[in-house]
Amino acid sequence: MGKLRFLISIIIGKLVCAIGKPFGKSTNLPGIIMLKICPDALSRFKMPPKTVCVTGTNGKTGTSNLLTHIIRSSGKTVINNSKGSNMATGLVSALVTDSTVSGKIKSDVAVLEVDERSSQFIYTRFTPDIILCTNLFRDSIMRNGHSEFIFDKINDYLSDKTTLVLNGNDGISGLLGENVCKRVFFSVDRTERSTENCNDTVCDLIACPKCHKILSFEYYHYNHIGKPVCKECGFSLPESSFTATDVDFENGKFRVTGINGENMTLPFPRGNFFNVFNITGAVAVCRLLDIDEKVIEESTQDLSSKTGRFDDSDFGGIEIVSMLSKNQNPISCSQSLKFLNSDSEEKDVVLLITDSNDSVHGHEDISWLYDTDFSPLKDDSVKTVYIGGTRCFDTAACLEIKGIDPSKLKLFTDYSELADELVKNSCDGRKAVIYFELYATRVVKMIKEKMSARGGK
Amino acid sequence: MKFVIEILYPEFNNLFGDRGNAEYLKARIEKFGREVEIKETNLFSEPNFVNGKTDILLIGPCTEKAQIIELSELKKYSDALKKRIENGGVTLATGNAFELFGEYIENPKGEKTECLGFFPYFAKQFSRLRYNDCAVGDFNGMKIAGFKNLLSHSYGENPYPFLEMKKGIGMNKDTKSEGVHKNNFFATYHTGPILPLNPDFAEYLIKLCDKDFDGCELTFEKTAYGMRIKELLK
Repeated sequence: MGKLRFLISIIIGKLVCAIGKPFGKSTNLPGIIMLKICPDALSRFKMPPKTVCVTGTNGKTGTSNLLTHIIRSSGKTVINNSKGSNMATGLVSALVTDSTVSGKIKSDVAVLEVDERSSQFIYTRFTPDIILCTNLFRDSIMRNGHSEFIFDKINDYLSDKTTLVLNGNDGISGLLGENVCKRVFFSVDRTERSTENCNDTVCDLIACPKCHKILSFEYYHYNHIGKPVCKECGFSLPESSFTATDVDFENGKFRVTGINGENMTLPFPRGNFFNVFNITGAVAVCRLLDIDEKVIEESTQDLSSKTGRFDDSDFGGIEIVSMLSKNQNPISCSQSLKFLNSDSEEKDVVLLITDSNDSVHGHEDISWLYDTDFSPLKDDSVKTVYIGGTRCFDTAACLEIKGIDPSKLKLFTDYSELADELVKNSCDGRKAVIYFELYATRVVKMIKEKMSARGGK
Repeated sequence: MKFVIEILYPEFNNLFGDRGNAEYLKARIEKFGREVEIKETNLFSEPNFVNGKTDILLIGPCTEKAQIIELSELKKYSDALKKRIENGGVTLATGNAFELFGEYIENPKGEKTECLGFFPYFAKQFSRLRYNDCAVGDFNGMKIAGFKNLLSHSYGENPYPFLEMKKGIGMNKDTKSEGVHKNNFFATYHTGPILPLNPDFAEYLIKLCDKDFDGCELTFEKTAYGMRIKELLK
């Protein structure tokens, strides 16, 4: 009976994919319907010879796209869920596009991005050969609570048949699967930008996870990512099998060495140090999949153009830099704000970081703003900070408490007024840097259109 | 004389923006012209309030595991805490720190951890989904807005409630009574930067320590507060 339900669900899933595609409804809806017909559909697919899941707080999408790209470059076929959701419904929707009518996945490898909170509904349905966890941080409080809560949500559903690929600089996710799974670590060695102390607003690992006394670090990369070594009880993370060294920030390249003699020089997009972690994690997985070093090196040479979250273009004579900043995610927001200090050119900053769709999503918990490092806004090169959205007064209050001159701030509950004011006051030669959360993409588009229409002043 | 704000166990008790409370108090008191010192007391160290002067003591929320670790330490200072509450020491416990002062915390397996036992309520953790809320309560006519993110609710008697909820639940879904207020001790399930969200309440707390304090608001928080209350009580 179950088998029949599964077959029916596949046929209907394929139909929904075909019909929904022109309307943009093929990346999640097929999975929703299939799981209604056959709740255990995910366990009934005949998975490909290798299945890799990518999870963690930050860097999941970038890392799974990169993995897919490298594995495809090696000549293997890959199914992934890059176009859809990273929950069970998204995985099912992706898999059905690549499955035979009987449920056999045709590709050689599945690379599946998995939402941390969905572990229970995914790893209990099939056992991935490899799970790569990029890192664990505090994230949206309403969805994720705290990192320990998310840690348990993943850890409780791990199988001893899965190999974990873990971030050896992260003392939180680095404890996943301890004494259960085979674990392979990757890490980034001390760089010229490493610090002795944590200079970020929040650090999610201050106390030792074993003895609970204050944890020492040999160095920090950012937040709690670094090299934790407890002076009290001796806790540290296991040695890494893959290590990024010689990070050259100026030229955007670094070296990865591995315990089997691997030695690759790889590029990373300018200014985005996170990519060094994502790339090194992806390299570790690729080597576990026996992908040749040469293929990895060659296929990663043109990475810089593969990120859609950063744009730098000219509109009506004004340079506009726009950066996606995940709502409710103080780590992501803090890190992208650091970009402001990368040069001393005069600039205006536009903050569209609180939920622009809260009339639908409900009143936003703005607590995360207080965990965000806004200090780059203090810089003299930042002339005016335009703050948009229903919660603009909350954002402004937080900025003032954190020592940003309130006379620099302009507040707009109406995005259209913000755009008009920005266009009106824009000066040739002064760029605008826009930070926007996902739902504010439309506002960024509006600003760019109005700026283009302005013409050169 | 310096105004001393003590944060208890900040390495654990800063889950989401809780540090904003101390930062906001500091900004306003400094605007008033007084020097402020923020003392951070780590686990395994003797809290400043035990033998020193702490004007405002802040205890924020922590993870469910850290709660158990903290309790074993905090019990060593149970008498000092009790004395502080009886003597009118200004103390604000937020999020699940509210539970530390009740009878016990029961986890989903039914295992109980004994708490400080100052008040007769007890907490029960649920297993998977967290409870989120944007709520408004009333404290002597003052509206207090806040956010909740919990893996537990509290039950039993609560003879000294802090808030009567106008929107959202009390310490559990069947009551509108929330938190504890006894003398100058305040405990509430609301979490995060409750003081910048509620500038009038922040002022009330500062005035309990320094009756000359004359407001010294910053520029935007009062408007944000007004908008939030209006929106949530609509």
